[in-house]
Amino acid sequence: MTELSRKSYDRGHQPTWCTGCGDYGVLRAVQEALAALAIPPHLVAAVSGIGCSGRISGYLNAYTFHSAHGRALPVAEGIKRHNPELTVLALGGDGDGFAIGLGHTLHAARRNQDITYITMTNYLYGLTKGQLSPVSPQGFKARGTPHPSSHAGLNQALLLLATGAGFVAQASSGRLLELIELIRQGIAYPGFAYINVFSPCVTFNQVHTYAWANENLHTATHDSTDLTAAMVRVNESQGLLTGVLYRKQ
Amino acid sequence: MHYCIKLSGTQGDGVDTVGEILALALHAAGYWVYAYRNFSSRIRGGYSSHEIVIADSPVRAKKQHPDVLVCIGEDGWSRDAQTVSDSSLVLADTSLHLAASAQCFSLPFTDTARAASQVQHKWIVALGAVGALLGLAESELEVPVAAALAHKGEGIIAGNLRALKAGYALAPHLVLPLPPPSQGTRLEARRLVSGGQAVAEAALACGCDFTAGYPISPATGVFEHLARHLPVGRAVQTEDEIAAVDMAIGASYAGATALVATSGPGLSLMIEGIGLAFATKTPLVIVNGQRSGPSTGMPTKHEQSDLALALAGGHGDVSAPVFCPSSVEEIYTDLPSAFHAAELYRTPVIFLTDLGLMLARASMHPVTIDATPIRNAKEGRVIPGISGKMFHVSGNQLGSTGLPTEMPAQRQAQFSARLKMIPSELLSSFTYIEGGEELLVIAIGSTRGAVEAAVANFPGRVSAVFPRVLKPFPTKALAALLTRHKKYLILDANATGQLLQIFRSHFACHERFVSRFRYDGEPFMPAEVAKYIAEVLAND
Ligand SMILES: Cc1ncc(C[n+]2csc(CCOP(=O)(O)OP(=O)(O)O)c2C)c(N)n1
Ligand code: SF4
Repeated sequence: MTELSRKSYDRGHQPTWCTGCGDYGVLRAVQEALAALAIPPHLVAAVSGIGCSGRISGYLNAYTFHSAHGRALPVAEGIKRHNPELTVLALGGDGDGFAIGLGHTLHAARRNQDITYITMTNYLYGLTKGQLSPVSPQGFKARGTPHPSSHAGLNQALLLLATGAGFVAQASSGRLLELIELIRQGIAYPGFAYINVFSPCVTFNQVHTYAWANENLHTATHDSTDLTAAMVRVNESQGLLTGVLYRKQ
Repeated sequence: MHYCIKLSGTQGDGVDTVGEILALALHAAGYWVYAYRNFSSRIRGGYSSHEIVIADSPVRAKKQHPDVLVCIGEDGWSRDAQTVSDSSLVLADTSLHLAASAQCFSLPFTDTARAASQVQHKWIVALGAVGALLGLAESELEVPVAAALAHKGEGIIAGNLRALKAGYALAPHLVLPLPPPSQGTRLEARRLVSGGQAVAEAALACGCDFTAGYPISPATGVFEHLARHLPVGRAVQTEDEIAAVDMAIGASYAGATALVATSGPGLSLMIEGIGLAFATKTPLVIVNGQRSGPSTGMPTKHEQSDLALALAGGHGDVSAPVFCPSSVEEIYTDLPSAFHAAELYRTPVIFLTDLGLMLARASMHPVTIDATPIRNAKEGRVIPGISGKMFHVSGNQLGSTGLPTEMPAQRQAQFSARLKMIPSELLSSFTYIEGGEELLVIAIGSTRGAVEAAVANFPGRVSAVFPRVLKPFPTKALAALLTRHKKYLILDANATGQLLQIFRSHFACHERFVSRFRYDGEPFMPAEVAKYIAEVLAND
């Protein structure tokens, strides 16, 4: 069998993302992580939702399913349940997974199928050209919304911890090596794994930039096997932590 | 012979269980049985009744007036006093204080139950009285009573059997012995099944190996049955119908033979997924048991008002086939066709039933299912896991490179190719009951039972047709049939004439269509349909 490399998971299409979009890093990291785990592409099924981020499935060389807005997880779960031999990934934006698809996110995590769920968080809706997302912080002003957000954003990691998900991690698209490693661990984890990636929208978001990520995201230092400690830290930090936040022993 | 025994009382009081037992006993005695349960959308209290029609040939409809009405409690009597005709016999609990007459007997069901075992067994006492009235041997009821209560333990069974015996002794002077069932029917292998049970059994026989669902009347039974028979993890109760349909889409994409069952409110939520399945060419069968709407409507009552939604099937040009069986037998014959069409044309298929069909139980001859065509149609479908065949599917319009396109020419070419995958007419698209040329009665689903009973009163004059496929609409096949008849009577179990509109949109001769509606939660009755037929014939 030919050696697997990042290229093995590349369909060879040029993404339509803006130059500098955080989603490039996520695509790259997913490919590197799959190569590191040496999972043959035909044993990978990747399902995405709708949004700029949702385009990612089309660029992966695997069995790929570009589903509907917010519906990547139930489709992914159906695939996994029918064929547990497959490595199943679900991917989408913060709007996809925490607005329209929030119900599925919480319940899929609770049902704990061996799926890796990756969200590309840019704090707004990219594809519809810059509206507030459910994780946009209070006071954040988006291009497509006349007034700043009047209420706090959801803390994604905290929500996922509350579902009982066994693996919860966060990473920044700008720090590729850490991202690859976390996605690798998430895929290897035998159960539902959630990885939230801070993935800047360079076109519509001038606040949550790569520089912002470098300045505001801190490496988690708590005991990641301790759920209570994880919840306390994720809450205190308003979710601005990277690394493995929780891993069930 | 057509007898209707109606048990009428308060939900949660035992009337439902006793109705099921009586239907089973009469079916086992060799009669053709049709049992229709009318219940309230609450757990305890409220009106509940069980109508059991007994015949010596297949029967699929209720009767306007019961031959025997058994009533315990105000809930039952206040609703059903008006259904009684001059020839009906009424057996009422003494607590109702009805004046006794030649037709009306006041019997102490409750008091007898209290004395024999406990007051909760009052409907078992009534069952005994009905058994005696109809000339059933005590053993013919003891067996199904014990079977129905098997899970409750010896003590409860013994108490109920005492109550049953006491019921038999209650009215020795009352006899309305049924003519014995003809030998032919007694000897045949027959089953008493509901449409919901038929859907689940047929699905399993078709090789269905995945379902996901969210509880909703009248489809819950399908999910529960499948969940009992499929391996753990392959019948998933989801957070909503959106997740259910999408999970089934994922499973089917991965190679499963998947089915979801729901009713109007759930179909509304599944519409998004049906569009996704259509766009991604994912086979899937969606069973919809129509009930009263819009919104929650009357959730436990019959209606056929999802035709427009099912036919539209989603936003955009979703062209998912819509099957529409009109009997329990056709569920067994047509669900395989639905699975086959789903695999063959790589499409979601809507299997449109109704509450009457899903919940009523009917005696039928077993139908065997051959799943070979379905398996053959599945063969060659590329599924994840196969080396070297990776592909991308999407709800987006894909172009020739396999990635989303917005190029006008590509879109038009790719989408028309998608639509052409589904033929313009399917086989076995309707069931025709040939009678005469003066009038053709047109109906779908469980309305067929009332129509068949009604047209039998007009030999040589009236025929009937029950479309089995509504999309693609069998325009050619039906046109040939319509030209042979002078007028058409369409029966719409909805308020806006959804079936009429379908026919009008396909045939120009609008003046030849007459229609009647019913949307009070009750199915059409044979006598009612016969009256409509007579009206139309008289107007000629
Ligand atoms: C049911 C439905 N509603 C609305 C849309 C329009 N829509 C497309 S993408 C999107 C939001 C995208 O935001 P997000 O999920 O955060 O992804 P991003 O584009 O930022 O990567 C919306 C609202 C849709 N496709 N489907
Ligand atoms: S709009 Fe934003 S999220 Fe979308 S591709 Fe461009 S940078 Fe990325």
